[in-house]
Amino acid sequence: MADEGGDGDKLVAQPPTDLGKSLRCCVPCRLVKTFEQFYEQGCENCPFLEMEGDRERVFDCTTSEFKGMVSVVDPTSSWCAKWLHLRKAVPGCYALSVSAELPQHIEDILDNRGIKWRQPDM
Amino acid sequence: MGRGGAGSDDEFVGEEEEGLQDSEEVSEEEDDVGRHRKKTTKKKRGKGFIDDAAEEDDDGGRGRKRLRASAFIDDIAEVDDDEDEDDYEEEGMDDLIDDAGEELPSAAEMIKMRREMREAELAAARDSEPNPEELEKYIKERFGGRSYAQHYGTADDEEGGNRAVGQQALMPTNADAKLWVVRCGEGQEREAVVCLLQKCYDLGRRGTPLLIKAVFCQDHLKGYIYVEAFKEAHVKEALRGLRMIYGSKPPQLVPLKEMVDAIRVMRGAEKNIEAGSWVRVKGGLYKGDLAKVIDTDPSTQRGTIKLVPRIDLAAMAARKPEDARSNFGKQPKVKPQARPFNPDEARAHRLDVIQQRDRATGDVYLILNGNHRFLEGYIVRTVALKGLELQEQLPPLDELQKFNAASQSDEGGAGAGGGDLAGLVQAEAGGEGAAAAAAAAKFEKGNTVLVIDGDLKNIRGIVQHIAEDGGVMVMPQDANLPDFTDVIRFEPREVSKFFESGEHVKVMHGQHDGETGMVVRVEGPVCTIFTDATQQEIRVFARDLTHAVATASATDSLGGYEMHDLVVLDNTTVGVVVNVEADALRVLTNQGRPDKPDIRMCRLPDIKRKMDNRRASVRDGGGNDVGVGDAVDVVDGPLKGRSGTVRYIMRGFVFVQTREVAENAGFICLQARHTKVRGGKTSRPSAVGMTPGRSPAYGLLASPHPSRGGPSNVMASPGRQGGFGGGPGGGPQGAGVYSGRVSTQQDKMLEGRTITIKKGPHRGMRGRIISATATHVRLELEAQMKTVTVDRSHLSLEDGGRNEAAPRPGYGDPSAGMPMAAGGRTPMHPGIHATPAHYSSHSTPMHPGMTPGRDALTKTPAYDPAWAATPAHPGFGSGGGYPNAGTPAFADTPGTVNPSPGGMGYGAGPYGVAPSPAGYAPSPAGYAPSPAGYPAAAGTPAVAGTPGIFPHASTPGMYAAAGTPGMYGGGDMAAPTPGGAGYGGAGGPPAAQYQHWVDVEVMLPGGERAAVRSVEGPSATVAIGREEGERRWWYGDDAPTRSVPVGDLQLVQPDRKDQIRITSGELAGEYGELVGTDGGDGIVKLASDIKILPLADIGRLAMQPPAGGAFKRTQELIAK
Repeated sequence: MADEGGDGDKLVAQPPTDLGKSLRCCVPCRLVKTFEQFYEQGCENCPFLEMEGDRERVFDCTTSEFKGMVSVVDPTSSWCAKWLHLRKAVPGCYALSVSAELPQHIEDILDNRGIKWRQPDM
Repeated sequence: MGRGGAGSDDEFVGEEEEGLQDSEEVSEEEDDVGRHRKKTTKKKRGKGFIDDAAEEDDDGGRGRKRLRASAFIDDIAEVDDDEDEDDYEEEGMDDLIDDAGEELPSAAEMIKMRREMREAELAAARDSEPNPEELEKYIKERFGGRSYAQHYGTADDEEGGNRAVGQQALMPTNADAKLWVVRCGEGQEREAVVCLLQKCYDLGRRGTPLLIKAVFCQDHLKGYIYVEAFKEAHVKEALRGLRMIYGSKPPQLVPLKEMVDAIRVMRGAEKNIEAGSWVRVKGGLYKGDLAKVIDTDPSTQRGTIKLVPRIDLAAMAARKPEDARSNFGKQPKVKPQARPFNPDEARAHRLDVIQQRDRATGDVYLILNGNHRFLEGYIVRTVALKGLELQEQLPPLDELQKFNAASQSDEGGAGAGGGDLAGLVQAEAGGEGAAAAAAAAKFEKGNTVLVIDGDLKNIRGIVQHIAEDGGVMVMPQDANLPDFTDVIRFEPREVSKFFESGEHVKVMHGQHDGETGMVVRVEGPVCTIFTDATQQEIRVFARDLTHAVATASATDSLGGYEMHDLVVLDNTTVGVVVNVEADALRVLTNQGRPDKPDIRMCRLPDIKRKMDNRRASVRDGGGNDVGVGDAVDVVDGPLKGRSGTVRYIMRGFVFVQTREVAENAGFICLQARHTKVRGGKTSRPSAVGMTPGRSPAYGLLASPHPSRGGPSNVMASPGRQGGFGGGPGGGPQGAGVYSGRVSTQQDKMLEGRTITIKKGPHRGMRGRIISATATHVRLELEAQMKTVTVDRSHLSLEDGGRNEAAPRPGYGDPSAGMPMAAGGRTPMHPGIHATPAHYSSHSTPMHPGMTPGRDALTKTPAYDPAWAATPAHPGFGSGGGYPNAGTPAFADTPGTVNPSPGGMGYGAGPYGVAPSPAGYAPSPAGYAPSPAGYPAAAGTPAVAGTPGIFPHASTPGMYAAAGTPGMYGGGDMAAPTPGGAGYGGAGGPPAAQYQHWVDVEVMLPGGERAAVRSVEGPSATVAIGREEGERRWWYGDDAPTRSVPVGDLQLVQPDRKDQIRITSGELAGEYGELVGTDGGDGIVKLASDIKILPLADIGRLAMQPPAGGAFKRTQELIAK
């Protein structure tokens, strides 16, 4: 939140504040933050997951099982972001690969609301 | 950023200990954890982020920055302190208003939206009706009309809909930014990635953004991160000041085509430990123990495992409570035995055992002393996955059994799943996901399989091949399906290998890998096998077996070494292969004692070579000769009373195979004098070298007289053999190769030098090097009348000691210049080279200056053949007995570096005394001529005349003359030996021998056939034959003749019914017909009677009678 807006109107995701076991990765967009950050700020790319203030939801929608980390500074011009399908994501720290999927009940909720998300299959 | 970890570590310990509590507790605890983490986080930020920010601030823009930084923190801090979620928004807002007014609107808006969204969701949940319109509206409002699906650039991405194609289109181009790889501190890759992002944000906010595009690290690539940027300067700029980046190495550009590889994550490359996996514990008390994974928690990288407890209840009970703390974490000195946990026993020790039911799983755990958890006799632990080693295949049966036993012995049949062994195995093979799949049997073509699942269950068949996708193609062969001839495809899990009792099988996997044996029992998936090698019963899974074509002893070989082979390990060590394992041989060496055999695991490089000394012989305790194959009784030592068959004889040791010992394939190694040969062989006179009857290979590697207690740890030197009066043994190839190989050219250079021993028991002593190998040096001590073997590393090599004054051998020169001098060809002068005895005298340590042999040999290779030829002289081995006698080395031209092992052996002789001078050094007088003889020998080529040498030369002749060469001759002589033949008559006029070669068909070095017309002294006139086909050559009167050195002549082996002439021996000169052959002997029909002679003494006549008819000349000759 604090970083939100940045200097101009650009939305960015906070870098993870810790690198320990609390690191989690948003399943749909692969954004990496700590559990607490997700809890407090939700996911900048996936507000529809509504993780803010909802521990259970954070647990459901994020995973600690991810591989590699990439800091995308400039998503629009970075090849890495392009390759990882993060062109339209906010700048931030992402995982290179996630194998987890959203739990079925979350999928159902999203379906019901007509939100289609698709995990970039990397 | 790794700071603050201590706090969270504590939590995890806590979690682990309380992990059994039910879910409510867990969630409570979670809250605790959360709180805890908040604190951690706060502290963290205070340290990490602010400091960083402050640091940057120093560069300028202080005021604004500071404000923001503190706003950032305070925001979090407020939230942290706040327990009540409901107050969250307002407080947060207040905070923001206070500290960072300009950000308020967006934050407030955000919160408002969130609330709206939550309300919308609640509403939706209430009437269970989605409200897409509202949501849509919200989304549009918030994100300017973008849909979430687009957010990740997939479905209607600009790159196209098809994903495969789409990804392809994303390949990097020259227009893209480049990738640079940068060295970074190991374990700090992620930190670097995060710090760089933070730095980018910070600097970007200040208006001087870093120009890098992205930074990433791969988990598997330790110590490197990748930075994406257009210019290297941008990368350097970004990395400047980062403490985890090593500045020493500049960023390296990743080539365009490697960029994808750099960023791609290998998925599923490594197998993961998961529930049901078999693992081994890597460290600690349970190191190496088998454990089964019950559960894993990927988020914490910890897993719960069960294993057979190693708990010493008695010790635990004895420990005082106050000690418990101080002793905490320490391992007992002695590893307690792995035993299933028995609560009654624990209670008997007055230890506290309570029961607890896990609400989630319903399992009943026993808790010992509040900190050990047990389930069905196993101890249950939660450990870091890193400390576990995944077993990709099913563990070996014996371990599984032990593991399973723990459950079986559990009280009250709690181990319902334990079942019997077969059940366990079935369970293992039947399911449990990846663990079982990983343990699937490997089928091979030809395996007999039994279908264990599906419609065709219990059908037998033979595997035809394995499909690429892993399917097993089976041809049914079953009485139930007599006319079924189609190959059926099965999944590997549907079939199992099938063996019947009596089948000969080989173990493919596990502890017994490589062993072969016979199936004696089949119990479901487990076969009991009686092994060939160790003669034990082992139990193995059928899936780990395959058919073995032959027995282990015949086929089980590794790198050319087979079971029961005699192999050389180093200079002083030989041994018998008693087991062949996957990549090593188990060797019983001669270095052990009978009660404590020395068994070594030898990998191939440890083994120098194989030996074959079947003809060796040794004296037993009673002075009898013991040969290979003799039955002996052990009369002394710890093994007294056993009996067995002598398999090998080596250096006074015998390797005896006995049925009375089960281990080491029944082999025992003991000193020959502790044995007594069965059947009371007559005691022979103990005169040196007077035992020709059975020991042509007398001096193989060994001291021929172990029974006399002489220094026996030496290899025979040729000189020694000579010294024995040309005793019975021309060393078979073995000895020669051996000594020849271990002493290299360079090592020879050391010989004669005086050096000081730096280390070891002989430290400080000086000595003269007699011989050297790559690893050891034998030297004669100056201070003591002793020769010792010293590790090379124990020496300091002095330069002054080298005795270059060693006369440049008058010996070598003449021979080099005069090839004819080669002993093999100059029977006229047998004394010259045929008497290694005097060579040995040259190398006598006492007379370093008198070692021309060494230099001569190193400097004049032409000399070698001469040596090479030497052993051929029957003087030492009665010719026929010399296995290599027939090799071309003896007949070849000077200057060839002999290819024959035997030759080499001899070549090695003079300097090859190398490995074994001790043998004669202590007792030079025993065989060497008197010192007076040396100068003469060394200085003059006319050594032949020197008394004291000549006798040796002629000794063999005496044998030959006296004897029946066949006695030692026979055996496995490979080919006729002209050298041998020539020498056989050394007692008489040497050249005379060749005179009997007249009319005989010979082979010339060039491969031509020729008939010997006449022999004059050292050369023979031969008529070159014209081939007439079918082993027939025509030697007409007009055939071209040639004069050839007799040494070049080689007899042609006669066939049955061939007309022959006896070329040496008592009957030399007689004509006859070869009636038949028997091993190395020929049965010859002479004019008067039938004799059995060594084939080496028989020459095929050049003019054979035409088939069916008698040839006139032959007839005439026979008539003579």
